[in-house]
Amino acid sequence: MRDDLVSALRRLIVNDLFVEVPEDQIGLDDGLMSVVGLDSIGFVELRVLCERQFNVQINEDDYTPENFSSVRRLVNLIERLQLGQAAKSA
Amino acid sequence: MTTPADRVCVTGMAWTTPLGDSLERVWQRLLSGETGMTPMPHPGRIRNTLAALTPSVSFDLPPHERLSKMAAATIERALAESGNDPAGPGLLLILGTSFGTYLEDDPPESSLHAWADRVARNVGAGVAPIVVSTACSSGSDAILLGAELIRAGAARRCVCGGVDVLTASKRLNHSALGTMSPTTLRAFDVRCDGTLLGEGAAFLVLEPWQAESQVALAWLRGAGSANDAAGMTAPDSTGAGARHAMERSLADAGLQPGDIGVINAHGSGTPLNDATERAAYRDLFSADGRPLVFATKGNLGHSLGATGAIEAIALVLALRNRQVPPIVGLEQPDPEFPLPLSCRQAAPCDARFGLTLTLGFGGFDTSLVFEAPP
Repeated sequence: MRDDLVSALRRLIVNDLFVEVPEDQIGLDDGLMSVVGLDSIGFVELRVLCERQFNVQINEDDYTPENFSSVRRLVNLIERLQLGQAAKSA
Repeated sequence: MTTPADRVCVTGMAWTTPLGDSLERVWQRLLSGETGMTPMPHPGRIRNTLAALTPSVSFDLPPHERLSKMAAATIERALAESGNDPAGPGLLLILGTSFGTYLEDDPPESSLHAWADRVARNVGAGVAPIVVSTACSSGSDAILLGAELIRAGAARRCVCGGVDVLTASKRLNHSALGTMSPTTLRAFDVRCDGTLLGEGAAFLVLEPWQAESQVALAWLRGAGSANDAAGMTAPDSTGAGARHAMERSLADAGLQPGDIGVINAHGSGTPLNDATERAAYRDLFSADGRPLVFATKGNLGHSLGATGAIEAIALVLALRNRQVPPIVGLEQPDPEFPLPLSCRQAAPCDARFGLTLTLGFGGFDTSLVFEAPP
């Protein structure tokens, strides 16, 4: 798992989604809804922000509660999508 | 507590729905378990193309014209049924809608009030209308408001209800929020996974009860509301707000939970909604009564600002016809659901009192209690 993606995602969550948990206290497996406190509007925003920040397209099949349940799961998704895009353009 | 002197009665009602516009014909189709869901293309990324559309208002018109046309036509039919003249003195229109068509096109009016004003003038109402916008509870809140104004002596008769038209942006909203089902709407089913949208309009004519002079379709015995104060979209899944609304409506009606024989639930089909209603009904009816529960969003879709009023009419029809439609989409009832569910086929119901609950985005919880006429 790439550390730069993890920190970028934590920073995005705190700076752009106004959660009240400090960056360094967002655990890799903390529930983004149950612990970090995102609501359904927050998840819509998170999807779009991730697409812009990490230059990926998150389609309906990937926009699932499982993929967005924690920082770890979301970073895994972003990594997979970035690799997939790189493979296509190679 | 209402006394017979300040009882509010329903003297007319009408709806425009995906299954038609006739009260009787649509009721029969509900009893048969028919659904108005149909695949409808969408230009954007959307989770499910199923939606329930009303065929009686042409799709060639721009959304804001469909909205106004649907409202005016339904109001006129409700008034005709009640024998009321729209230009008659003291007739007040109370129109509920979620947010009109502002995300879709450029309506000629700059505000929902200006829109309501135009609808009122189109139907010939002599008094400035009131518009209510409380998301998915708008239709029910319009009815609650009408009852309160009549009881306060501030209005002599009200036409209350709601209207909303299906738009690409509303569908996109619910798909993006994750509230839309990727499969189908299955209220109170173990497999429930979201809602599907519909559109429509429904209006009820409310008047103070005067035994000698009119036949009531039903009495609106009580109304109550509460707000969850929990989140912008998600309900308070402990059911506390929903329970408060129901308790207030029962207190308003001078009734106990055990007096309620039938419930038209919100039944939007999302897991959070199911959990909320499950908890609220369990807590309210734990010791007292087991009303039969039905829900009509599987037939007609979730029509947002109209749904509370459509479901009030469905409840009145259930009380009058002594029958309850099956919940469309319900095949594996949630074993944790605390009350009997109307499943697979229409069921008889001899309830004298019924309750309809509506839960809106933003935590708007509204409960209406109706009594069947003798």
